[in-house]
Amino acid sequence: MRLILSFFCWLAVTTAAWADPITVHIAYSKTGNAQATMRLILDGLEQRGWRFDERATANPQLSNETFNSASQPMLMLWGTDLVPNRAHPAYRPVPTAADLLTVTYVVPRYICAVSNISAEDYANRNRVLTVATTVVPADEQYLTTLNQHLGTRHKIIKYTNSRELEAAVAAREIDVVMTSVGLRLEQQGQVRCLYNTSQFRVGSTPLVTDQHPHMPTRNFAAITYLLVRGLDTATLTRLRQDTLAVQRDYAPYTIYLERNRNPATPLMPDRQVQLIKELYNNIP
Amino acid sequence: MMAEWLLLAAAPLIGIVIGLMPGLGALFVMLMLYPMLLHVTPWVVVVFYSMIIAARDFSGSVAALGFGMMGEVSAGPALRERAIIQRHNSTRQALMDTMWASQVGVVVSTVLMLAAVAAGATTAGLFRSDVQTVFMLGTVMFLLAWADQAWWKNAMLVAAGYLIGMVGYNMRTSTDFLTFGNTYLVGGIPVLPVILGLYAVPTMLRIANSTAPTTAAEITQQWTMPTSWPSMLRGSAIGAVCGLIPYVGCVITSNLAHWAEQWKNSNSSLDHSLKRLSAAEAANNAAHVTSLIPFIIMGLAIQPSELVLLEVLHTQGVRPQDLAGLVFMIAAGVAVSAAFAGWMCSSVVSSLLTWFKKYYWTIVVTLSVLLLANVAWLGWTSDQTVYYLAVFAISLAVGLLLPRQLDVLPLVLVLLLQNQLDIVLPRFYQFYLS
Repeated sequence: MRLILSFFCWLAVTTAAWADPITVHIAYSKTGNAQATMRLILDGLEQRGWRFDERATANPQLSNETFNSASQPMLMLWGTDLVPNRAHPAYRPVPTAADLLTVTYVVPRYICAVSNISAEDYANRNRVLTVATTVVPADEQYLTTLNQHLGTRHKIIKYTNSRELEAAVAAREIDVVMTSVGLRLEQQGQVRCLYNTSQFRVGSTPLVTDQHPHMPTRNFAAITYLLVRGLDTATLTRLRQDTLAVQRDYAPYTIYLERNRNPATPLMPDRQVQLIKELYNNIP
Repeated sequence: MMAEWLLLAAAPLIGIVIGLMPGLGALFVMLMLYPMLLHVTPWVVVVFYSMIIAARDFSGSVAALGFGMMGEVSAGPALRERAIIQRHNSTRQALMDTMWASQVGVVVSTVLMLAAVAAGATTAGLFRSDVQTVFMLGTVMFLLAWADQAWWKNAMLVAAGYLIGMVGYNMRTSTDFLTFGNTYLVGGIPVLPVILGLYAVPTMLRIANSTAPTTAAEITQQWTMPTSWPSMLRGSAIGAVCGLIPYVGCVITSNLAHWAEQWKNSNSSLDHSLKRLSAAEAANNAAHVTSLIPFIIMGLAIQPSELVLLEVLHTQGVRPQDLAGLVFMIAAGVAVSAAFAGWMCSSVVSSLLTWFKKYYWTIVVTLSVLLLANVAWLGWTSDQTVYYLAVFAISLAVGLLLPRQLDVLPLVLVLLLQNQLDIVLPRFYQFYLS
């Protein structure tokens, strides 16, 4: 009897499984790098006994309202680029240390030359280049700020997402591209990266602020993160510990980030809120 | 490795099932299998994907011909020809023709794919904004001239499709469009419930009311030769070219081939009907093979399901271009899968038709319930079950109230292409006119 009781006690202590699956709202669509990264984290957590029920709403307002009114434990994938309009009802303020579970994906933008253009050419006021970026307003805002800072008149062309930017690079219809997948394209020999817009040093690509130290926007990147609510303190502590362990040790996740040369892994929890706050300042 | 071979062996069956189930596309299969696929050898994942795509296209037409069910827009031509085929008790011949057409489409496009890769050809130029603008405008012009409808009716349908697609939160402007403060509308109007309610179900109901199930007299186990090789080759050529057109090609290809074949075979005889059907079916299969060319050569994903495939490969640190001999594996996978699906659906055609006849209404009702369940399930996976069902119900009411002779396909196709139209046309303006 004692043995059986001991076994159940051991099971209760070691298993992290929540009785019911925790609902995870993804405010984005079903596909994309951010979603893939989050899925890898959830996979890692499931291997540690957690259970999740994923819902990809592709509707930030619905996810936001559901999350805010949830009476059951819930996670939500959100990002700094999702609703960059402070007046919109779905706009979410900067998360706090209490409701942030973890940053799942950090996406610096890389400004890369498609044709034979150097950083000096890019800064040359007499040259007008076509610069491609996504439709995310903050991306265009950043390029406009950079244009103004350099005094250039480059033409900004907008594409739906990084997938379309890759197609534009392949079609060679642009001179320069600002994209989150710049380093991968550089490895494939399709572009040459001139700048990294963030403060995360990745490889040898110079930061914009290295070359232009007075650039007003000093750290520009998009971040996706998981928010949490409705868990009791003990369970939340276990979830945080397990999440950290997954992000540190779960091979599919770490390999994915490494291959995408993504600087999410070194981020410690106390730095995460501060960083998100910093990036929210870039919202126009 | 044994498990991977089993996965490949199951691929044609999975493809057949998703072809029969409205809304259950390759995207959902890939997403559902995503965690497992991360641990599967990269070339097996790609071959698995190409096999389910090849099998899916054929079984979709079987459902359309057998039960008058429409899972995808590409099955539209089969539905339109069904009345003539049923009137002549020729479902078996039609199924045989679609089987042959699928094989011809796959063979022609696979040869093209191999030639393109061998020649080191690139289709990158097709992704240029000016080229895409021409394709988009060409598609809109094609839809304005759709069927025998007045151009202004088609123009209104095109505008309605565009408007429905515009509803929701616009990432480009960070503002809402026609949401009236409704939370669900912020996510946009879901496309599948609209298409099923407005177009597929009303069409199916009309068919069910106007055509009788196949009679037993025509049911034999004999294989028959195709009605027309030239029609299949013409369809294959149209499909193979359309598949290369990014974003647009696979959406319009079977309808375009059907429309083009009408120029040559325009009357309501069985012979002409089967020729139009063959052309459409061949085009559909051909397009889905050649649409893989940008993926193989440049690692570019055009379809959402290809994006998931690409993510699986990237997670494993592999680019499609790096997989040696990938094009041959895909070609083999596509050929085997299409042949298997064709054999499955055609060699058991007698049993199928006997079954259709005996349980016609039971099957139709069951599939209709499954169709509704699919809408509900899609809604459930996005936490919007009631909203999806409401959109379906409203679309169905509108679809049933619209005049019978009004063909709403231009609305449906523009709705599917709205996102691309919305981004390509302003980009063309930015490039050349601003």
